[in-house]
Amino acid sequence: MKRKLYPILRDVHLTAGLFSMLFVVMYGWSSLQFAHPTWADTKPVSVEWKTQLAAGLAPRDAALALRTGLQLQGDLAQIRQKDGVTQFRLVKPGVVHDVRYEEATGAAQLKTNRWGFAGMMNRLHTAAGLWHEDSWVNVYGWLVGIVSFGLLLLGGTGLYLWFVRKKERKLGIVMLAISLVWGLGTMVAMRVA
Amino acid sequence: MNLMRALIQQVHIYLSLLSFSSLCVFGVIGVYATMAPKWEERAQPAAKRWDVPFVAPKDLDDAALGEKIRKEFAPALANPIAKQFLRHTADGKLLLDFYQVNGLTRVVVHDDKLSFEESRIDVLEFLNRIHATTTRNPSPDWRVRAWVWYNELAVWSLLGMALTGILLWWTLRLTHKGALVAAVLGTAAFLAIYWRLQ
Repeated sequence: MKRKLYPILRDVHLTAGLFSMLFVVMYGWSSLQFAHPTWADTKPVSVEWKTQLAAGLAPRDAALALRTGLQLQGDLAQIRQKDGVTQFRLVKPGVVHDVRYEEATGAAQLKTNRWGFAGMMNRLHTAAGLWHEDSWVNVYGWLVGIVSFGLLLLGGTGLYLWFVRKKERKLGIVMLAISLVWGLGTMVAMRVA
Repeated sequence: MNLMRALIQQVHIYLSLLSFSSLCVFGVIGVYATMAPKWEERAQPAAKRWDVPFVAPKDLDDAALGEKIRKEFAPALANPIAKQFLRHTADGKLLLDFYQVNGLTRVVVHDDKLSFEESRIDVLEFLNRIHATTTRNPSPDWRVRAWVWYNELAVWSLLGMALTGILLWWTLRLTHKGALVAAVLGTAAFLAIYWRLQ
């Protein structure tokens, strides 16, 4: 049983790990940037510009006009309407358009924020879910789910692959105990506080 | 070369075991984030309300009063409230929002009492919060401090684990067809997404 299981789980571990590797590096890298914000420049480059839309559009129609006419992409978010002015955002991980649309004249002012590599790592880290209007963000959402399941698979198979290796068992038990006491222990202590 | 491989393998194993708790949290949170609806559409936890008799000392300003209330009445993990986040209700009463990893405790300071409103998030949302609680979030509480340092260690371990894993594949099993296909598919998927979403 052990002889049959080991090569299968080793292949599963290897395959899941290699499929996930760039995602895991992205999550690790961006986590460090979140924890140490001075280590990298994650601020976006902003450009302000103007365009003309038809007057009297509802927010969703104004967003549609920007998407079809100017090929802008992203989810429609944070809609606010006051005194004949509509403000909303078109959001995708690497680019956010802040739109200010005057209903009476159709004039639209836009501020486009575009993130570089380091900022993009952070933006990808926080993007998830399958509810987006932009289908590519939903594709990414599925990948996040697959990679996350892959992490659990890596953990489970890795635990088995380690345990059957006698050489690393003793020190491994110490490492796992540190992880459980320090990690799981503080989690439980925080939850019950 | 064999000695080097064995060393890399040991580093890979020990780092993985050291970060095992966080690795499980990251995996669970990723699956949760995939399946969860938009933030606005998520069920909000029911709030628990109660009052405590309290007369505020006259010699304290809002910041000092907020800190006194935090120390004496707020949940153990609550952070001090920075001055810029002190607010007042429409009728001018001091309003204190104590955020912490288990939820939010809102306190309104009346002339003769404190009114509490506490919403406690569920376990998945709790895990979501703690996975984002890093060394950037200083806390006076030892539990949170212990967690953020474990989280920091886990992130470095995760990176080390990934890099040693790639090295092991490169030196030992580069010819494994399934692994090669997985590496190409994963890399292509990431690059395609990066290109399309930038």
